[in-house]
Amino acid sequence: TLTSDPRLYMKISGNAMLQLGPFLYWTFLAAFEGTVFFFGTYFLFQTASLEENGKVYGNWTFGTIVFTVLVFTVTLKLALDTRFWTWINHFVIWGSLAFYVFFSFFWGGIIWPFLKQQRMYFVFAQMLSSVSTWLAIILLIFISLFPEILLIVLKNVRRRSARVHHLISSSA
Amino acid sequence: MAMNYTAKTRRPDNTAFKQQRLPAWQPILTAGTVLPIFFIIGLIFIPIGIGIFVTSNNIREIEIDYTGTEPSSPCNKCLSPDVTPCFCTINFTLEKSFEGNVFMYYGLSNFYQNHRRYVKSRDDSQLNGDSSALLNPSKECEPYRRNEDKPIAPCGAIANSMFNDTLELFLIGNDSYPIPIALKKKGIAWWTDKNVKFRNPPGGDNLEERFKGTTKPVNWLKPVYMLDSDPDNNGFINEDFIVWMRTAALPTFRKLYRLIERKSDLHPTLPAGRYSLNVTYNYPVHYFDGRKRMILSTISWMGGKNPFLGIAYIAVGSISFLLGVVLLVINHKYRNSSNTADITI
Repeated sequence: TLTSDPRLYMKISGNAMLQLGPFLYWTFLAAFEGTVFFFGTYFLFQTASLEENGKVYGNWTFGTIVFTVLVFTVTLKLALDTRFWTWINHFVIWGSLAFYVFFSFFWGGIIWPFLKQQRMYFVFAQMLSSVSTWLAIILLIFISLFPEILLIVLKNVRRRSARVHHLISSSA
Repeated sequence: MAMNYTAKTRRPDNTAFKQQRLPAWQPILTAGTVLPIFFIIGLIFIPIGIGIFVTSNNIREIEIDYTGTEPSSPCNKCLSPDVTPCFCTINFTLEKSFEGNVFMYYGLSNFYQNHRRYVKSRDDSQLNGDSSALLNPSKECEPYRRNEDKPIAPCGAIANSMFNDTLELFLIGNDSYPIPIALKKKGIAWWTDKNVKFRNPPGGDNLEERFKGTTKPVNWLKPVYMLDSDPDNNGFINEDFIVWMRTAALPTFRKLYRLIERKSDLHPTLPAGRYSLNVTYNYPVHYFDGRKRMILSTISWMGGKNPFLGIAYIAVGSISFLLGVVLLVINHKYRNSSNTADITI
């Protein structure tokens, strides 16, 4: 029955997940992550070239870098918030990331006849041919998720200390 | 009453999927798992950051602004020229020699190539060599679509505002005699741009014939089929044109102009000394407070000179390591009894 495993309902009792506190936290986290994505890429572009052959990136490569960091950060944030991982969770989360990469290559690899402008042609592949861009993407994903990971660890440390104190006080 | 065995039961199947009994794994982010990760990240990021920073510091770069808005600048006379084309020369000195391949860029400031209406103003089918689009360009190119009752090739505001200064570099030798430096004009655009995305319209051998019935953009001096004498760099596949058509992301941007190839391992590509930059000043930027620059830069595995990535990696690595230490201390303070408590979320 529903109450046979009360552990599952401890964290969400009283609609705790949808109160104003968590909502504001998510909003500020979103603003922080957005700033990191854009300004990280902005400062990355303050150079002549990002490639070994000196060639220059354009408008759409800038946007593609920001968007790639965004997709990975958002998906990994979902992964951090997932408590119970079944095969379905693995499939949709990692599959979503894999599909994004696959689809970007596919979409940018063909000159689509129905499109009026071929703005994304080969942009994703060209973007991935630069070592600096890879390093920047990894760094920006890590910076964006860092506050979240920190908070989770701090919460777990506090919870464990609270439980330990409770055990000590109850056994005394 | 006998049970009707042929009636379908509406009870769901007793599978793990439908009864929500799927095997599940529950990650628990305790300090014991995360702390090592923080330390490892710190230990990985800091050397990477140092490597990037050192590489960036070893890149040689020099910027020469030649807008000419200051009265003392040699290019000041070109702001309102009496005779077109206007030539001006800027002398500069290289303190240290440039080794390896040197890349010559032109840079513009306060030029918003990322303006939305500007970015839309092009016809990619026309630039791909489509004959019907050549004579009937897309509506997005308005008002740079037709001129003198003929379609413009290439149409649009991006093509119309193409950078048309000519920059030449001379090394001033010991006897004050300027030695021209060989500038390579091919190999500056993306390979896919040059060979796939931009194609000349089909036709006979003569490029001028293929563009019959079209006219040049309003601000251009020469039509598109006279951009270069080399047929592999003429028309839509001219590399300077392709580089310009890849709209820049920010209002202060640089575009690759020429390559200076390395000569041999014994001689530096650009030895230290005095140089002069000869400018054919065609492109007016002063009336929108824009600036024009020429940049000479060497390139490494990480691209051009950019201290940001190195500093960011070092900073993030250090913060991660520091926080790992702090969390270790906090964890140690709370770890006073045995860990028999079951950690449940």
